[in-house]
Amino acid sequence: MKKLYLGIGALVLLSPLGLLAKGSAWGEWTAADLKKMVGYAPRGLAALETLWRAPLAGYAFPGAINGPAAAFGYVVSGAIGVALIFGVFILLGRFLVKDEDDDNT
Amino acid sequence: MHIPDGYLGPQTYLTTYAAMGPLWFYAGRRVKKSLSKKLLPRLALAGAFSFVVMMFNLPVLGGSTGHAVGSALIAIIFGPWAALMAVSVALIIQALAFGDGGITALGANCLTMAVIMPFTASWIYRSVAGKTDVLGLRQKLAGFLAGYISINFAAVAAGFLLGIQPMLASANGRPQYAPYPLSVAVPAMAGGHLLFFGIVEGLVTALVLTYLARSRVLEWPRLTVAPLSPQRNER
Repeated sequence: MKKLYLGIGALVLLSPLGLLAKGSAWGEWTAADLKKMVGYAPRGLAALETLWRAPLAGYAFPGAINGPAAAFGYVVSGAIGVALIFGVFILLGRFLVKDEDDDNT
Repeated sequence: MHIPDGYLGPQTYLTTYAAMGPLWFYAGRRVKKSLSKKLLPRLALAGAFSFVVMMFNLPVLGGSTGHAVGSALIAIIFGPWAALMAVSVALIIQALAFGDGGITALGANCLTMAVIMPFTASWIYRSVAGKTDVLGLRQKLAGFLAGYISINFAAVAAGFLLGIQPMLASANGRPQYAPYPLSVAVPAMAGGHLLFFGIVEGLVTALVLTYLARSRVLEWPRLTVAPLSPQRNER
């Protein structure tokens, strides 16, 4: 198990490699991107787009979307994301797991 | 494959949420039944794995990007219902904290990456691997095919959801949400995954499975699969 935790840690540290790919995924453009692509911003899309402002949108600190700051933000985002996921499962465990004496590997 | 807010109209996002409701509920009950203190950190690890794998954006011809999902691997190791939970948690965190995938589109994104993908992966893996030795070549092939085909099913499903939007909501001939019709959206989503991201998903699945089988670090396949999918107890 320890090896697997280390593996996740290594992936988080290497994650800025994912920033080398430029451009956005198909179907994940902003309304402004779309306006350039098809000539107009779909009205419903533009209205819903700003529904939620994620605190670390794009896995970056606000404003730090280029260069080393972006790589750093990406790693920190990865670590925060992993921590949040473990947090969710720990909470789920509190509610769901029946107490039993199980060995912890 | 993370559909953002605004790409799906209310009919679609409400329908996909409605479809996910009972699936989340049933998966929760099913996982709860076999959840032990031992399995819990493993599922968290699985969710974290999927989360991190999705951060590795890969370029594809035409200036677009994409990534593997990790859902196939998780489904093979822990069973599709556990994968549904683990990947859903990853997708929820991605949407809420990082704006990757929309809040309204969360149902749709879970449907493609946390339901369609793990269930097809699990089925393909079982069909191809059969009862062969976990270190055999056929297992590697089964892992690869499960990853490759399942991510394409998910991509086509996402393309379908995007592609029906112009039919569902257009005003004066202008789509209100995702603007491209099925004839564009489905091939676009399938293309990158057939040619590239699917191969990455397949390789990740096969390689990590081989590593796990060899190192026995997860006690896979002996321990973890059985409690979550009783129909597979005979292994």
